[in-house]
Amino acid sequence: MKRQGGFILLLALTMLAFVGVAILTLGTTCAYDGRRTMDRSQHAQLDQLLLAGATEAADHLKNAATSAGDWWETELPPALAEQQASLVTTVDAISADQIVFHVRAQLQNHVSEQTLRFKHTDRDWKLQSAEVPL
Amino acid sequence: MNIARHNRAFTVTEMLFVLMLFSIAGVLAMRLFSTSMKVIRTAPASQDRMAAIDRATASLRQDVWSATKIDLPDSHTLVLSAPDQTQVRWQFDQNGVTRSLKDKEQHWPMSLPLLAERRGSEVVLKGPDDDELRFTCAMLAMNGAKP
Repeated sequence: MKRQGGFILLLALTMLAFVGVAILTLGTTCAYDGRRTMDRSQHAQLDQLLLAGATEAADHLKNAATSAGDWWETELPPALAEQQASLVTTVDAISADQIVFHVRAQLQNHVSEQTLRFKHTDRDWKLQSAEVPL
Repeated sequence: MNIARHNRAFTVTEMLFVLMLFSIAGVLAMRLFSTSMKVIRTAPASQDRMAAIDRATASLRQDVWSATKIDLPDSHTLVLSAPDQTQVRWQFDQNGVTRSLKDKEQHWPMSLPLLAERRGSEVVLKGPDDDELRFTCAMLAMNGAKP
């Protein structure tokens, strides 16, 4: 019986290997891109939570006496609470003319934090700086 | 006359048909091969570019968030004033994104044309295809933004 050459089979298998690697690479890139899109939407939401935390910290200064170590959790809308979101504000340091807050926002497994410094001017507290870690 | 043909050959039409099939298969295989190679070659570069964008935007977010003043001399330059009066300059050009603070400079190479725009207390970076990246300035949002 005449032996059949395996050249075409080898060629086809090589081609399949190339296509397989290409599909795998494309899949990895798409998954990375999708994860980035999800992360971006969550970080945008976290930024909004941090802003809400800053506003509430300013309101708290106007309406309540504050001492170092105080903390409170802001009640969030049900849609956010369902996504395991939380917003916790802590008073880090306090002096006669300055108060430092630490705001921690969490959404699912993403966390964002900021440090707020308020300075006392005349009869009011004014936001002096808002810093987020890199 | 009826001659039995034991050694039957292919006709010209059959040969041409098979040649045509081989040609089509060859062209398809070549295109598949070149596309696969292109994907394999460009995908890591694409991921590197996305990582560079992520690093640059994380740093820009931090600067914009704490800025007390936002200046846009042109759509490729962003000057952010920090609470301690230092100025951070962001430059977006064909070679990438550059952040300058005093004599320290950071550069993220990317061949992505970005244009900066200010909307109230936000800085918007516009990419090709009208993609937008928004960065909120907490200081201006809290103290009332001036457009």
